[in-house]
Amino acid sequence: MFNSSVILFIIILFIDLSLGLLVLIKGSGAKANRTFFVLAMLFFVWIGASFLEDEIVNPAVIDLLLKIDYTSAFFAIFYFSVFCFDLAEFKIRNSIMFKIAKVLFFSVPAIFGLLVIFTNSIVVGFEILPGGINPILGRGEPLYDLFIVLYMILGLAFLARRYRTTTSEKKAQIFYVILGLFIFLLIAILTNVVLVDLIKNSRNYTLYSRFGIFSSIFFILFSGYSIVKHRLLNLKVIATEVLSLGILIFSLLQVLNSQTSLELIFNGIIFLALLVLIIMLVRSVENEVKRKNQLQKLTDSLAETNDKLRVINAKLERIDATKTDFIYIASHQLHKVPTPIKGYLSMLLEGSYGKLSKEQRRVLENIKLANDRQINLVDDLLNVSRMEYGKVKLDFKEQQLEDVCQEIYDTVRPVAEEKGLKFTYEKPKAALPKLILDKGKIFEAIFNFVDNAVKYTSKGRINLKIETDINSHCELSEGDDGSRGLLSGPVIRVTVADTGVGIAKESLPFLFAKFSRNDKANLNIEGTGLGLYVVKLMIEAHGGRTWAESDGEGEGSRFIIEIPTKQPENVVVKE
Amino acid sequence: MSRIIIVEDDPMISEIFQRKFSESGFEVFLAESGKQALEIIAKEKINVVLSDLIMPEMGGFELTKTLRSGNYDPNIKIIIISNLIDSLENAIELGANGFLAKSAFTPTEMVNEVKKILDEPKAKVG
Repeated sequence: MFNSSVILFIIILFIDLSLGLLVLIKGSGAKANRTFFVLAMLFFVWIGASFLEDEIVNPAVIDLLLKIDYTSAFFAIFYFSVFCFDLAEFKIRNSIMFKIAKVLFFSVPAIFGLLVIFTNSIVVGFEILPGGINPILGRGEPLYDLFIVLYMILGLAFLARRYRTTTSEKKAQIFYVILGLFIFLLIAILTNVVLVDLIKNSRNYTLYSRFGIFSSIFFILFSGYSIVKHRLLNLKVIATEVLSLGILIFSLLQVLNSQTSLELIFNGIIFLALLVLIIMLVRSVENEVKRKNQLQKLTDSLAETNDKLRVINAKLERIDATKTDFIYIASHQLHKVPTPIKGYLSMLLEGSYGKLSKEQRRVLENIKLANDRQINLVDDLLNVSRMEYGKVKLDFKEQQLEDVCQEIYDTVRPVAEEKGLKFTYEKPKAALPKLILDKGKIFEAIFNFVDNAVKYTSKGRINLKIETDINSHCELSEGDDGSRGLLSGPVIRVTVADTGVGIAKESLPFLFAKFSRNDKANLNIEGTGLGLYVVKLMIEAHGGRTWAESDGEGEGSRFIIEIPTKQPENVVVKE
Repeated sequence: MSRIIIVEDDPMISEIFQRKFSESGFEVFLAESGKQALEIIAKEKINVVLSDLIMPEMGGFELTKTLRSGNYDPNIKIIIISNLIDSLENAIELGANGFLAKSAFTPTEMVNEVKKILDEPKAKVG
């Protein structure tokens, strides 16, 4: 009659063999799979030999089995290190040196195998104790043991080396191998080394000592599992699996130990029920972990994106600071030349350095004009930079736009009249709705138009007009930022009309464009510079729009600003 | 008669203002940095400081800060002359009485602006 020990032995051998084959079939191409198969086979022989040596009565056969036991054990542990090496997948150059090292490495177990089988240096014989047979070992045993330990350490070293620089998947693989080995060694060392003196003389010595070798199945199981199905490392899953396996083994032993057939059926049902429950449990835990991992991955990638954004943001802030610095330095440097020129010229013209001839005065006036133009250009350039980089702080307050127009009218009228021009100001009798404006900027914009009108009109009249339009929806000229839409709704419109030089039709679209080198058309318009572009930026900052109309050269022109009475919400104080 | 110190590292600007302010009846002192200006102010009775912002050794901001630290006559008027118009608020906050954009005014206009500020008890910005 088979006892439970025999059945356990058969089950373990069956698991070992089938797992070895499964791993081989599942990945016959991979080196680690082939190595694992050999490893499983060596364990097969080792377990088989060490089991049989206690069951056989013939001393000669026992002697042979012992030798096979010790040889296969050595080979198995040796192969463990090879398996670890293959699992680690080191990048190896297949040099001659490596091949020689490989041959030398593999010859060590061969020598030990020969020593075990053909000499008495390691296995001398055996004694029969009350609980079973006990091997008597020779003088070579310490060396044998030393190599066993060395191979273990070597294998673990391979894995450890890899563990630091690998993916989480590989890490899990390595972890399973080490966990299996750990359980195996723990049980083996406990039964065969630590407790050996206690159990040596026990009647059940054979059974206890077998636990050591049988527990190698944990190593085989975990290693095989790690290759076939490497999953992400999770302690919860592993704990569940180990615990479940323990319960199942316990339940199976109960089945095997059943004394009556009723008990057998009862225990069998419990075992099957447990099996089903445990499979379900493990699955659900795995699913939970899988979902958790997915979530973790998402969180990780989000955090990564966040980090990237933070870096980009910091970079942008640096760039922005550099730009601001540039504007600051440029405004200092670019003014450095024309400022003293302006000073000297003014004083020359004022007679500080003596009386000037008419011709000298004319030339100096021209130089002064050119220099002022230079200063204006630099100012415009810096204004554009400031507006574009948001450096200009707009100081929005509720204002009456007609008050601003009145101020401009009062300022410019003497100049215009001195030039012989008729300057008129038209405004509705009733007060216009209040607007939220940066008075300085709006003043600058309208003043720019009026100033230009005076400059480019030699005779005739200039009219500054302010009015409301309930439903304005004029086509917008295409802005280079492309952000503007069609304006519709009530607006306050300011029109500066003159009878001056007018504007050629082909020049109209470029009038408010940014000064650009590619823009040949724009370069031909003398004196516009960046002033109108600055006006455009200022008006757009108020949610309004500006454009020019002309019936052609010599026909005068109209410069128009429209600001909606319902200003968009983005008209806020810009920093 | 007002005693003015022109704190300016550009010798041409310095020369222009010295001449113009002298012609306009000011007693003019010159300094090339805030540090130099402080040395002169410690010795001489000064009514107006006309200072550039960017200078070696000590700039206009630091000069203003030092003059307003409590160790100097609080009646000294400080007027910043610079093209760095973004610094206007900063200068006023530090205690300057005025801020004049250097390239926006001719020397004659500059003198008029300074006179205006001297006549006003409150800070004036132009």
